Amino acid sequence: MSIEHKINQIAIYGKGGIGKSTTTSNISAALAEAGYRVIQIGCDPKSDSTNTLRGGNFLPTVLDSIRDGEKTRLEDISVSGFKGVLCIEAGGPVPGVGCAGRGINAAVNLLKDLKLFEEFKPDYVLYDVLGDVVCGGFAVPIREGLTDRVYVVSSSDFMAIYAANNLFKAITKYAPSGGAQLGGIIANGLIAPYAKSLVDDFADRTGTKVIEYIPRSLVVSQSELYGQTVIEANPQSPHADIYRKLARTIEEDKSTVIPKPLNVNELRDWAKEWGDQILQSQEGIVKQFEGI
Amino acid sequence: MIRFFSHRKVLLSNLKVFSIKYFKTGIFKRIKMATIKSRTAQIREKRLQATGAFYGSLLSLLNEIRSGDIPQRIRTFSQDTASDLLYALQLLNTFQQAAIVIHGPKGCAAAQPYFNAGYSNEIKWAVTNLNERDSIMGSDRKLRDTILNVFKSFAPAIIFVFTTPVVAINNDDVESVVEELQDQLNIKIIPIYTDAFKSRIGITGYDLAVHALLKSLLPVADIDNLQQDFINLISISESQDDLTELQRILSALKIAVNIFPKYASVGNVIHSKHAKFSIAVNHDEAFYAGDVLQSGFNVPYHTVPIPVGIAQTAAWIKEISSSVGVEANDFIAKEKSSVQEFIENKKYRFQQKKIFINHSPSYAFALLEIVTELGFQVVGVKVPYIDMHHTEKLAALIEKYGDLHIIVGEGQLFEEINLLKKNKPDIYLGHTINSLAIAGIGISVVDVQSVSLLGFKGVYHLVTKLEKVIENTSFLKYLSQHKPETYLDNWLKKSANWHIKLEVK
Repeated sequence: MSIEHKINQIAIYGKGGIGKSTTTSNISAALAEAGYRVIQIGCDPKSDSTNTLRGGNFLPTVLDSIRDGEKTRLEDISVSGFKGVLCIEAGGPVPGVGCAGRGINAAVNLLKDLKLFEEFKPDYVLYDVLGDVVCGGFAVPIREGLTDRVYVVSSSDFMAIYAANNLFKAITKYAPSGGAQLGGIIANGLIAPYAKSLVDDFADRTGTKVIEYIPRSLVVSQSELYGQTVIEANPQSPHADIYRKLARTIEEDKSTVIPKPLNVNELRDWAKEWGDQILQSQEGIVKQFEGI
Repeated sequence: MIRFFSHRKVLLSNLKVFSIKYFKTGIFKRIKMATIKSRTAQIREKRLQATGAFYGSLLSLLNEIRSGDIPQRIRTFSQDTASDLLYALQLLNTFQQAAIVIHGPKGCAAAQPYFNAGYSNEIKWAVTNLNERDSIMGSDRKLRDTILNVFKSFAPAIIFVFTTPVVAINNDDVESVVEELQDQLNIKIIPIYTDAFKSRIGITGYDLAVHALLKSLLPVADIDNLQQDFINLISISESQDDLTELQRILSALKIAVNIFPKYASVGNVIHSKHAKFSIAVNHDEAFYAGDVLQSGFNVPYHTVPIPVGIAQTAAWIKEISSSVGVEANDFIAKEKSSVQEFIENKKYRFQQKKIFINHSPSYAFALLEIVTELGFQVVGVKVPYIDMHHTEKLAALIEKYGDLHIIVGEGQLFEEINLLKKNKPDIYLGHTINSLAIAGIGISVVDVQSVSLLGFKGVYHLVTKLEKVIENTSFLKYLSQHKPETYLDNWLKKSANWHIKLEVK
């Protein structure tokens, strides 16, 4: 690989079910549509990160190949999806046994051994990582300089914010020793009137920024039912443009920060403050959500 | 390094107050029956407040134990120590018609050939040889295959499955594999949860092995109260020679004995619930088994000192004979006089010679009494651990000999060499593993593992060995002149307790 060829390695985290894979796949699709060579690596034992990019084509996971114990080739564990996005799933053990976190580590190591980046020469590599950072294994993509930037997908639900805050803690821990820093928050599935203000406020408190707001939309659900990304299934929709805009931000704004996560008490107090405000707003006391 | 402190009288008056109070309340923490139903034994730090790191005076240690909350110290540098896996393996390697499966990476089985060789390679064993893939995917398939292979190849009567840190960290499911194969193969397969890192006290491994053995072979539902005319002799770490001497004594008194779990069969363990009572060779090690039999099967457990030395051997025999209703006074008197005569003729050889003792607590304390009686000056005692069961003995030793310095820790040769160079004993009475390094600094070594110390004959063996090493010093002189130093000067200049610190949580 030539020295000039810079690979942008990006990790995308977020609480389970928050739309992380949907967002990542649409970013991949938008980047590929813009002419970049993209790899998307699903780092979740569920191994469904790249479903909408590969139209449901069967893809053995990296850990499936490790389990079989036979010599693994890159073509056995990857498949080319929408606009040539190379889809890979790390996979995991059978639920209830083994250690999925260590599995992520082993999968990433195997991909290195297979010289994935030298072979494919990507411009962008997107790691779609399981929700919360539950152990060291799931922090692998942000450790040891594997990725340059981390984005967190969050809604305005408290548990999603909580997961984001935990990720911030992991970033803060690893950043001094060469770990990745935060590119920003992707606010997803926004529906409540206060949602944008709440996520903005969290970003403000933690010294971070929101790089895109993605409202909840039927077009996303419909595209998923077709087994495709929004970019592929509904390319003319406003939502596709939001994802394109998000991809452009990722492309152009490479600034990162080390976030300042809230401690347990701060997070609890902050949440309570917002709970009070939401209650008051429902009771008709109009004095807040200045950002709306 | 026994130091007879000038303020001994003050110390003793404190002790008496304590001793009376303590003896009344009793010192043994009993094992509840619910405990044996649990998955595995509690670690000794929790059950007995055992500690494996201490350096200081016996009295300060006693006060800490007495306070009811022994502070846990750690070594900020640890050269070596034995894990619970090693202790459990050592015990069950002698079990008859057994096979051993070590469930872990092959390195975890590194000590197994050593233990096996120590018992004539009689045990058939295998290791599941876990690798990174197994740690990710789970290791139940390998365990199942290994047990099946061991069963097909060796047809054992019982299979012990020892877990290791990898299995413990991964929380791999051993139970369901064991239960499934136990039904399929129709033999006992017993998992022993030797995690090897939860306890810093290696001897916990004996408890883990005993717990698993009794839980599996003696279900509490099987209680039948069919008492028979024999006693249980609970042996955990003794050699065949040790047991031969105890069997000689019991046989002379016509007392039938069931020895287990060391060298035992499945039958010995099952039979144990019908005994009149149980007695330990070494209470430190045997208490767990004795107490489970007492609380679960109404087999009384009699606590007596280890039969090391004339007085303790006599006390041990008296406890058994009086409980069984056998006259033993003549036997004891005859044996005692013979040993005493032998000792008296040798004592002059040992006067003012300095000695350092390193052994497990009960042995070390008994040896301290014997060698002091022989005329030696004890310059230090090292034991691998201390727990609340030793309170009474520590108090008695201080009362008899005054305060003295003690090191608690297993392994840690660097600490020992440091101390030995400062205190310069003539003889080191301890374990083989450190013999060469210690002989290399010009100190005669009596390897306690090669001397059977139990019973009256044990006293003969010990005195004979001590006499031999005092006579033969030429090789020692040659060795100390030619063997390079094991440690650099800057290590030895530090205090021996440099790395022992209070744990901050």
